[in-house]
Amino acid sequence: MAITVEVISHHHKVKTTRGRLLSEVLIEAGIPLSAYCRGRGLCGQCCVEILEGILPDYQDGEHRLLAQRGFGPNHRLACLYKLQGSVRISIPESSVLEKMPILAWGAAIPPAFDPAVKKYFLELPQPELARPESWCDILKQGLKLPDPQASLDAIRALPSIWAQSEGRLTAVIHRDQDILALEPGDTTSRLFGLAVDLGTTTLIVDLVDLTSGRVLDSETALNSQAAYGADVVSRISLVFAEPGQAGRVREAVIKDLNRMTSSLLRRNGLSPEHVYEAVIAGNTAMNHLLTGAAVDSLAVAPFSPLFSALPAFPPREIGLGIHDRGRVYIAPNIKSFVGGDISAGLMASGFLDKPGPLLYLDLGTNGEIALKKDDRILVTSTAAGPAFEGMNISQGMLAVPGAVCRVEDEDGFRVFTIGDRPARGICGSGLIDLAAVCLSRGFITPAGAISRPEKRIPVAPGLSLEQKDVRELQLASAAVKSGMRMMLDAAGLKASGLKQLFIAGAFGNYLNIARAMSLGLLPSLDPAQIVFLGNASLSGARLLLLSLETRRRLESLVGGIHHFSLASQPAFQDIFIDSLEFKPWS
Amino acid sequence: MASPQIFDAMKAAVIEGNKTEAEQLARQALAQGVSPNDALERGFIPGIRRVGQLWEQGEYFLPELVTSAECMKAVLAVLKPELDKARQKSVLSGKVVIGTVEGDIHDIGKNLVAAMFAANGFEVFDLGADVKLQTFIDKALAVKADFVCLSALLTTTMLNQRRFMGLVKEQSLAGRFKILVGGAPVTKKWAEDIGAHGYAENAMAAVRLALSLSAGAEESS
Repeated sequence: MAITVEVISHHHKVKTTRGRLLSEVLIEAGIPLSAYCRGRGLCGQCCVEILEGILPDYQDGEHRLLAQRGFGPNHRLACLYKLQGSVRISIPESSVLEKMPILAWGAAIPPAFDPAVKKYFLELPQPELARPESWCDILKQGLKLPDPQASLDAIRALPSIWAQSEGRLTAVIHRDQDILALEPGDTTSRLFGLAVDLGTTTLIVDLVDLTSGRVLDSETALNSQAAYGADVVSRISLVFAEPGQAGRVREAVIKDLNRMTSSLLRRNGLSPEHVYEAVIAGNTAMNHLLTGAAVDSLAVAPFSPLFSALPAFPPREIGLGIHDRGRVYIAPNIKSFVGGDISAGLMASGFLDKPGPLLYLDLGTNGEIALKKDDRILVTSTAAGPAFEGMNISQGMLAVPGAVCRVEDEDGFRVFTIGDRPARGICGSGLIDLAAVCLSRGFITPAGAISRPEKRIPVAPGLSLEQKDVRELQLASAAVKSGMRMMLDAAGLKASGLKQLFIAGAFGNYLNIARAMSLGLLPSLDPAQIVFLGNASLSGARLLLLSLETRRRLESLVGGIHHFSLASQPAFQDIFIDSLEFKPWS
Repeated sequence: MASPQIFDAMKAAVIEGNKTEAEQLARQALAQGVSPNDALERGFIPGIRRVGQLWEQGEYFLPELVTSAECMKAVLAVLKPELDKARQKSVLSGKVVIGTVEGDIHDIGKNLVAAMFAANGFEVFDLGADVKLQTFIDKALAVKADFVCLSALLTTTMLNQRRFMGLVKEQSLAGRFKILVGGAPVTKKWAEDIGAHGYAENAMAAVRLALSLSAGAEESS
C-alpha cells in the first residue's frame, strides 16, 4: 500500500511503499542526503528528525552516533529507518551534502561526495568466552562490509590499538574493501588527500580535506624533470636511449612532489600520516616516467602506452611521502599522447556526461582535442609546438609577470602585461592578440607575410614581432585548427553544429575569443558557447579524489574512447596547409 | 620562335602559383616549337627558384610553396613526355629516394621536400612514412638514386638515421648515393656526427643542397 514521506525542510512530498529504507527514498527523490558510509549506520551523517510517524527503537550504535552530533530523541538515521507508514520529517542542514566545491562551471550531474578513502569510528566489544570470535571478525562485523580485507600490517597492529583505546578505534578503509590502517580513538575528522596536476612544465599539489571536500591549500612548482628535456618527447628519448637514466628522471619529480607535500603539511600543521590518498593527473608519458614504466613503446610508432588505468597502489611503490599504507591513484590514460590529464579534464568539465556535439581543446605543446557526437568520443593530439606557451618566439616567454598577455589597437599598440610589470616579452595570448591586431591593420597579410620590407613590426620599446614569430604562430594554430576540422569532418559535423567548446590549458582567461576566432584558431561560435576551464586536469584530480563513482565511470569510459590519427588521414596535408592562412572559419 | 615574353610569363605563373596558366604556357610553348629544356631552363625553373628566394626572405610560406610546386608538377607532366621523346639530354638529372624513417608516421615535412625536389626537376621516389631502412637502400640501388633523403620528426626516430648510416657501411655502399637528413629535431651537427652528406632545414634548402652537391660531384668527376 502506498504511503507518503513528507519532507518539510525541502518542501517535498514523495509516494512510496512500506518496507523501503527512508534514505533510499530520499536520495531517489533527488534530495542530496549525505550517504558517506553507504547506508551501514556507521557514520551518522544521514540523521533526520521524525516529526510525525513511527519512531522505532534505536539500533546498534545509532544512539551514540545521534548523541555525538547533539540530536535528540526524535532523530533517527535515515539509512536504518525502514518505512512502516507515512511520515513527516525534517532534514537538518548537516545531513545534506554541500555542493562539491570543485568546479566553478559545474558538471552536468554533480557527483556525490564519496571519497575512495574513508574513516569509520567503531566501538568494538571485547571478545567473550561465550562468543570466541577472532578479533578480526569482530572488526569486520563492526564495519558491516561484505568482505573487508585487512592487511597483515593492520592485523598486527590490532591488539595494541585495541588495548590503547578499549575497542574505540577508527578504521581507514579504501573503496569500502581494504582496511588500510587502524587508529586509536575517533580520528574521523582528520583525513586528507592530495590532488596533483603532474604537468610537463608545472606541478600543482592541492591539499584536500577528505571529510568535507574542501581544498585547504595549494602549492605550485616547476617540474625538475625539465633538466632532462623540456618536453615529453625529449624525456622519452633520453630514457629510451639511456634506460639507466629512468631512475633519475623519476626521482626528480618525486622529490618535487615530496617537497611540495611537506610544505603543504607543515603550513597546515599536519604530518604525512594524515594523508591517505593522492590522485595524480598527468599525461601518458609523465605517468609512465612517474611509475617507472618502460617508455620504449611510447617512443616509436605505433606509440602504444604500457597501461591505461592502474589500480591504486601503495605510495612506497613510487616513494611518495604520504601515509605509508595509503594509496596513489593515477587518472587513466586514454591513448599514448592523450593521457590522464585529459581524461580527468573531460570528466571534470562534464564533457563525458553532457549530450553532444561537444568539442574539448587543451591548448599546450601538444594540442589535445576531443570530440563527442552522440555516444561516440574521438580524441587526438596535435603537434602544436610550444608557440602558445611563448616558446620559439624571438621575444616569447611563459605567462608570468612581465609577459605581454593582451594587446589593444589604440592608434598604435597598447600592451598589457601580467602583473602590470614593464614588458619583458610576450606570452601565447599576447602573441595571438598582436597577430590579430596586425592582421586587421594590414601589417601582416592573411598568408602571414609582414607587409613591411624590414619584416619586423615594432610593438613596444624593446619588443617587436618578427616574421619568424608569425610563422611559428601559423604552424601552431594550423596544427590545432586542422585537427579540429578533421575531427569534425570525420564525425560529419560542422563547427556551427557544436553545442559547446571547452578550452582547457595554458591560456586560462587571458585568451581573447574574438581575436582567436579572427585568426581561425577557434571556430566562429557564439562566445556564450565557449567555456574556459582553466586547469581542468587539476579539477579532475580533485574530482577523482572525492568521488569514487566518478573514478569508476571514467575507467569504464576511457576504454571506449577512439583515437583519431591525424597523420594517417590522406587529407591531413591539404587541410593543414589550408589552415595556415589567417582567416575565420567559414 | 617564341618571344622571350613567354618565358617571363612562365616564370610569373609559377611565382603566382597559377597552375592553369602554367600548364597552358607549357602546351603553348610546345606548340610554338620551344624545346622542353628551354621552357624549363628559361621559364619555369627560374620561377621556382624565385619562389625559393621569396621563401627565404620570409615573403612566402608553406601554402605558396605548395601551390608553386603543384604548378611545376603540372608543367612537368606536359613537358616530360616530350623530353623523353626527344631523347635530349634532359636538364632534369637527379634521382631522389625519400621517405620518413621507420617508427615515424609524420610526413607533411617530407612531402614538401619531395614536392620541391620534383618541382626543381628531380625524379622523386617517395616511399612514404614508417619506411624500413633496408627499403631505402633497395630502392636507391634499383633506381640508381643520386640522393637518399631520410626524414624523422621525433628525437626517438631520429636515431634511425644513424642506424641507416651503419647499414650503408655494413653493406659497403658508401659513395653509391648521397645521404641527406632532415626533420624537426635534426640539426646540422647531428648530420655531421652520423656522417650524412648533408642536412637541410627546409624544403628549399634541401633542393639547394642537392643542387650544390650535384654540381660539386660534376666538377670533381
